[in-house]
Amino acid sequence: MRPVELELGVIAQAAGSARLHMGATDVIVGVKVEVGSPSQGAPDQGRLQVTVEFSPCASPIYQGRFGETYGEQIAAAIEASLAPGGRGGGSDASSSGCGIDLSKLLILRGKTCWMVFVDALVLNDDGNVVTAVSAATLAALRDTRIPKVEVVTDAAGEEELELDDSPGSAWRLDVGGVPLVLTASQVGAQCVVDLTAAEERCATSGLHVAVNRAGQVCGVTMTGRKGIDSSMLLLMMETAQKLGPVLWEQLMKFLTR
Amino acid sequence: MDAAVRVRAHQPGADIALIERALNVQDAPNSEQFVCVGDEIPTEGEEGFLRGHGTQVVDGKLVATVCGLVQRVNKLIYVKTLNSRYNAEQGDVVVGRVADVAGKAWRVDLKSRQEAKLLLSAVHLPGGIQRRRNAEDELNMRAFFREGELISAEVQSVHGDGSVALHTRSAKYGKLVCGQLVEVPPNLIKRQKQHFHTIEALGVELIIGCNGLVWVAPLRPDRAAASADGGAGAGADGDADGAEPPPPPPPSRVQLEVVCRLSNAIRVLTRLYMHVYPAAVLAVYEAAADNGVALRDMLEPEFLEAVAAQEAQRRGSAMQE
Repeated sequence: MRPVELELGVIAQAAGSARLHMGATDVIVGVKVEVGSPSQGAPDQGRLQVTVEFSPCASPIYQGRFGETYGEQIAAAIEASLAPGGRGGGSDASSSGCGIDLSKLLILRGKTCWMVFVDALVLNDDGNVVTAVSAATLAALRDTRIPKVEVVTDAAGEEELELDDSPGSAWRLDVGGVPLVLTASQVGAQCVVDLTAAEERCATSGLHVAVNRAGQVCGVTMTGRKGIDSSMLLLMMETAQKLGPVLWEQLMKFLTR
Repeated sequence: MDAAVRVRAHQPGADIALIERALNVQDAPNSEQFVCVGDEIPTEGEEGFLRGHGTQVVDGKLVATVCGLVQRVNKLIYVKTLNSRYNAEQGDVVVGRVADVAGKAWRVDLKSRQEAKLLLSAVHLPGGIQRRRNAEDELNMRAFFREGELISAEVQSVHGDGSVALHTRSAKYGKLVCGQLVEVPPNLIKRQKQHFHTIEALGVELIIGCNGLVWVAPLRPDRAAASADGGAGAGADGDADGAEPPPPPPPSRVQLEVVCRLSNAIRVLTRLYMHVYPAAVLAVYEAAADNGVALRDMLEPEFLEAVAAQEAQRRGSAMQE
């Protein structure tokens, strides 16, 4: 894989941010946290929303609104890997090692919670954008500081929120369960990872595989127009499962030094 | 294997710092001759000067409209940029991609300001050299070059409005298959006598297009013969083109590695903003091969520093002579 170059804290106004370069691919991810109310279906959890935008300067093909659909697809893949909601087993995210533990974002059951907005902007597309955005998201989430909130019952019996703004009391999210999305593509009869933009045009199909630090698969999305036969499919999953933990270790080593 | 992935801090301007360190030059852009957009160009003591490209007279002062170096040739003052689009000149060897097939011509993308035209009458037809092109030839144009294929050609003429006409009237020009294309800023390519280089020792052929597209491919026996002819064989290749040349055998892993290493050598030169010509490319190739630098490590800062230091040494000794 191409060497990854990271910069943290590039957006001063965001709760956490990261800029990642992978060769010429350049993505920037900002994380914003706001107080809001939890959704009806999950009253004891916080909320997470991912948006991915393609800047028109990323590539001539993204002028106009072309980048929107692609951005939505990537956002959906990453949101699913970070917050596998849906029915059943949603709140167990972090212990099962697959995403962020949203229950930690709760302030008042049913009334208030933290909403985490992850915004990714692709500044230059030289291939392997999904992995770049996924890795930058991991770095930005690790860099995110959420202010401490205390629930205080005032004289009238109403619950009030006291926000502790001092930087020392801010806490960080546990990103131990965050998976990384790796793209394994088929070029000819070979399975390759980390393609540049020119190489991506030669690929017939690919698989975006979300893999956590233990090498377990947390989500799979297919891309490309040609079908993949079973032996190639297995090879792609195995390649992603082998590379995922390695990338995870290297990123965490950099982030925790 | 040592880490398949490397993660490190991003250092903007690392490349420039590297070059400055190697050449022992500090703050090079602050020298007098380097101007930015809007900078005033000193013209004291020069009367009746001619204003050239990249300049403009604003409030009676000569001001630069682009970033670059101020050049003075007799009475002409102009600003030369470091990165500009390719400007075709007659006789240039270029490498381009066929963008379109229309009318009696192919439109070829040379990464210049305009697409160039390759007329049907400017290519070799099989079965005879000088034959009138008929309607059937026009319909079979795609049999020669399809959209998206790479070709090497020579600039036949450049018209007043900037449009470029190409020709492939020689055995050495034509379709390029089975190799690697490296894009290089056209300013780094010097016009030389020979643009087709066959490196027998490594078994590769190198085509340095003046428009900045460099082609590296494993040597194929039929093309080796053609280029050895020196392109004089206008009649000799009638036979070869008549019968469809057999598809080349897939290159071996060793050949592929050599091609990749050469391409990386060209990329190294591009990163360090050094001229790309065969001797320089081979020097970098040998430096990498001799020191056992892995293919993926060739673009890492350590190797770049070594190459920059080598170049600094070469310039130092050249100046002393």
